[in-house]
Amino acid sequence: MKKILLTLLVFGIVGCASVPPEQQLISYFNKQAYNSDITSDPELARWAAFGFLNGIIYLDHPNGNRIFTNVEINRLKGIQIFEELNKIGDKVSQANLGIIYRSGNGVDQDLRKSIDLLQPVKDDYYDAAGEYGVAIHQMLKMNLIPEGEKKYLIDEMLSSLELSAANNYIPAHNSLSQLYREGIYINTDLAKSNFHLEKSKVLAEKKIKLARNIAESRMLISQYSKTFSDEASRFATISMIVSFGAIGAMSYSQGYQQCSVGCSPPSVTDLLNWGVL
Amino acid sequence: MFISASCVSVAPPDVMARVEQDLAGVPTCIEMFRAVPADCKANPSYCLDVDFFNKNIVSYQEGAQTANAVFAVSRYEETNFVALCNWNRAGTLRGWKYIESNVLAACEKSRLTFMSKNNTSLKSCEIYARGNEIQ
Repeated sequence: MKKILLTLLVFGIVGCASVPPEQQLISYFNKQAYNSDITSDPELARWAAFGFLNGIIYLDHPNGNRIFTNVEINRLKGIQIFEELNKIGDKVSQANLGIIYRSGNGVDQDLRKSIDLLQPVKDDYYDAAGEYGVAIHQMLKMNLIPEGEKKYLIDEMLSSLELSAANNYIPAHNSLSQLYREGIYINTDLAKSNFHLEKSKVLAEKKIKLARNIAESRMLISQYSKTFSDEASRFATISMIVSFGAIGAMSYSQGYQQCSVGCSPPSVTDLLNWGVL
Repeated sequence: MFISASCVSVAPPDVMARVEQDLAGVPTCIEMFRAVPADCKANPSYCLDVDFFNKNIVSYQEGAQTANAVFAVSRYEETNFVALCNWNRAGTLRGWKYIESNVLAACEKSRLTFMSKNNTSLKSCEIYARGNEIQ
């Protein structure tokens, strides 16, 4: 009887503590992301900033699985974290700020600021190089670059876009396709323009498919988990009724002793071994 | 454990031939499917501990031959080759729906992790076998 009470107590404690990992991840995010001292750990701060910008976070669980969950989008907060990290010399944050100011996602687009942020880090990250090239391309089209700077920046734009396109960065392929078709800053080359356009299409389709599959997988996980949990509850209800009967029978049995395998009546281990449970 | 282990035989040769063909490229999955209780000691990763408190380690063949066992796979979208697998077993009283949803949920978690880490699309998980019956 003591063993049964102890087991019930252990299950009670474990049951209460077993919050789904997604819920644990949200609690962890909320605790860390709103900590005023978050920039003391740049990696954690970047993780929180991406969460605020994209509304989705993930963490690698010790069991090897990657756990995803949605969080509230707060672009201002995300940008604020990147700004703080940039002030203390974090290159990744500098690159991300450059990308944000180029795209105008959550801020007013500021191409000059974007170029200034991306120029020092364009050789470290291919996406920063691509965005640097795209920002220059946009400024050229809007006639925002002084004549004296044009030649230098066109060279910078082309080398950055080529480097980034070689690393399959889609906006760089799009920009190069336009540049080769327009023939304003480089000689027209329709073959090269079509090559970059096709490459961009293939990469974009692949990216869309991957995003769709990731969303589908997350949906299926919750669907299957719900079915599993429903089935487990149904079985638990039946087991509980049977267990009450078994406990009652055991309490009347004089010969009942502590037993794990080969017991009469059979133990849980026996039932598992026989393929019943 | 001894009683059930002594009842488990190797997987039927025709089944294993099909498994080796279908799961070529993921040797771990083939070995997981093939594993009998004797393999668990040398290769614990092929087996599962189904009873945490009493250390009840089972292999896929033991589950397939003595209970309800399900083997699920996920395939590469571009080639249709199997990329990863998951399996589990449950007592017959729990029914197939219970164990299938459990294995498919675990397989989808592996699929999500794989796609996210490798930037490679995989098809949704499917039941490859119920016991030694390939679907």
